[in-house]
Amino acid sequence: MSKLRTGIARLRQAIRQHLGQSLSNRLTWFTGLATLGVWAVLLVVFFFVARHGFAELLEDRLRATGEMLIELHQNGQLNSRQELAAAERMSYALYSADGQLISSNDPHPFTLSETGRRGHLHALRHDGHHWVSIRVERAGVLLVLAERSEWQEELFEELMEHLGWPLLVAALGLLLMLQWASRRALQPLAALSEELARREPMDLSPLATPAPQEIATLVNNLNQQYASIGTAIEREQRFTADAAHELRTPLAALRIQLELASSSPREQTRHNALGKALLGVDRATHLVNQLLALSRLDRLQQQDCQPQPLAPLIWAAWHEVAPDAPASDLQVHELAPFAPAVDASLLQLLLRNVFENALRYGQPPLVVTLTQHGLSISDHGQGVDEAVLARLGERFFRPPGQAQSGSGLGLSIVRRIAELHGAELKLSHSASGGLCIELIWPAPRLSAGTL
Amino acid sequence: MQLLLVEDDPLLGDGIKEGLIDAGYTVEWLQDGQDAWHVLSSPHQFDAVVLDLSLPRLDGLQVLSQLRALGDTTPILVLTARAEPDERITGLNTGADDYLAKPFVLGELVARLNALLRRSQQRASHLLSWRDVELNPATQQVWLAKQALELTATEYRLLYLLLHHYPHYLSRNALEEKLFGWQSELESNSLDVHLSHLRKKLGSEAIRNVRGLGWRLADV
Repeated sequence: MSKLRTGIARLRQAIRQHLGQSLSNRLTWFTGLATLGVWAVLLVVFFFVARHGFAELLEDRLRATGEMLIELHQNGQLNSRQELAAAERMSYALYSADGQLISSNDPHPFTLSETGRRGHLHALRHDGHHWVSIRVERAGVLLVLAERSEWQEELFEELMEHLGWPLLVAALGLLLMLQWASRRALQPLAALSEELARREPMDLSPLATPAPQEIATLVNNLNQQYASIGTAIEREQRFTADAAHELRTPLAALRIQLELASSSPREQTRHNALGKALLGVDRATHLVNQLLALSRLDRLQQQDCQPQPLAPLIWAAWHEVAPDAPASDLQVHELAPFAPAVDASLLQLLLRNVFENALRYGQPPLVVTLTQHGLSISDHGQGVDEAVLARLGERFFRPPGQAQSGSGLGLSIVRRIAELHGAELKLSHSASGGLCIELIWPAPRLSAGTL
Repeated sequence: MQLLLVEDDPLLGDGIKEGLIDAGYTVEWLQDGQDAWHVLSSPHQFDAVVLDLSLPRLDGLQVLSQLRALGDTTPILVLTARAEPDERITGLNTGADDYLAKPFVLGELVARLNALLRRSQQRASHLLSWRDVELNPATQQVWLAKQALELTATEYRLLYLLLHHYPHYLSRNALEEKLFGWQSELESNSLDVHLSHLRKKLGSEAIRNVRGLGWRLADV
């Protein structure tokens, strides 16, 4: 029993595997079995219809023969027809109205009780053979007429012979045709998988194979994925190239200063070069830190933001950037209470970059103004001209003739952090002529309920 | 020998300038493409130019092509942070004589400049020679009759200038500019002092002076 069970389980496993292997197999078997099922039902129906028709035919013939026999009996000619009945494998028994046997061609005549109701064909066993019988009643006599018959078996054999074998062959043909047709039908899928297999690993162009409706969404999604991966890779490559480029100059400077420090024939030059080399290390470190910060920010998506007042963040960032600056160098004016949802550490990074820029390229005092939509930070330096203002915040852009060192990334970092907060960064000239940096959060949408 | 260095990065520019001074050159350093164009487009004394490509206000390639369009043949060595071959090809096709990618070794920069100057003078040997005087710009050594000759830095630069420009005369202005650059306010006779010191070491007939033309080494 358990052997049978494991056998069945194994078969089911094999079938599942066969079907799972290919869509074409599934299509072939599912449509094939459905078609064959319909065929089988039709065959059964056909069998019963045929049997019914055949039985009616048989009944009519027996009745006609029975009536003929009764007529012969009335004419007194019945005995002379006994041979005929025997030759046709027929057996009859003629009874009077009160049930007395009048005549029969059979040594064991059929009894009345054996032959069922009147007027209908009746199948029975008699003397070890199959018979069909009918009772005919006419002119005061009762005739039981039976014919030896294996007709049901014969009918089945006939049907099998003329319909069964051709059907079996047709079914096999059908399965083969289905297999071929499903392969043809799944051709677009095959073409698609062929194209995918042919692709170079770094090929991110959209798929060229036209996709049928059923897999169009799949192919579209795939193409969108390719496109977004392509954009990401391109951005990374550009960033890496820019970074490598921007690192070359500080490295070249560092290398030259170290060469001078180690081998200049002039004492003073050697001494100066060492100091400048240290400066170069600081500058390269700053650049690398800014690059890392920016590349991390590039990867960040949505921020975990908590509403909080900005003034404490502003002071904390300021003390980090200029721990020894006189208190008058930073003025914070809070015109309206404003506590936007911010990521505290990112906002501090933003503020540090703005403050460092202001101290490096501008002049204190810095004035921070908090309004109900955001904040502005302006310095009292020389500011920049319009052409520079338009390009500030571009990666690696540094104003021409800038003597102060810097990475050209500070405002890119500021811009990216503003973007992550959904805030707008605006650069303009401050009232005193310096640079003014504004961060503006979009006004919260007011629904009727909050008014 | 007077070189013009155009490099906008303060630390790198300073380092190259000091390194080239150590190598025996007079160096003027500009940090801006527009300034460089201004200086180079008017008559100038520079024997060679070291030009960075990414410059504020006027791109290095722009300076280069405009300068070549003027017919200026001053040897120009281009410095750049972009190391891709097509960049180098563009630079050389625009008129650069040589190309050096950052970061580089100071010694290589000096060697390439020496080679540029040798080619501009159509010398076969890396040594400059006149009579029994030989000068090696790579090592800054001078020999007189196979004997090492001790010269001060200024005397060496003066001899290098006279050898490089032989047999042409160098005017007082040219000599002073190539020796001392733009910056220093020198005493009016300081060139004469160095010339007389050099004469003492090479022999009184070695340097000829013609009024109105300037100075050159005597005929061989």
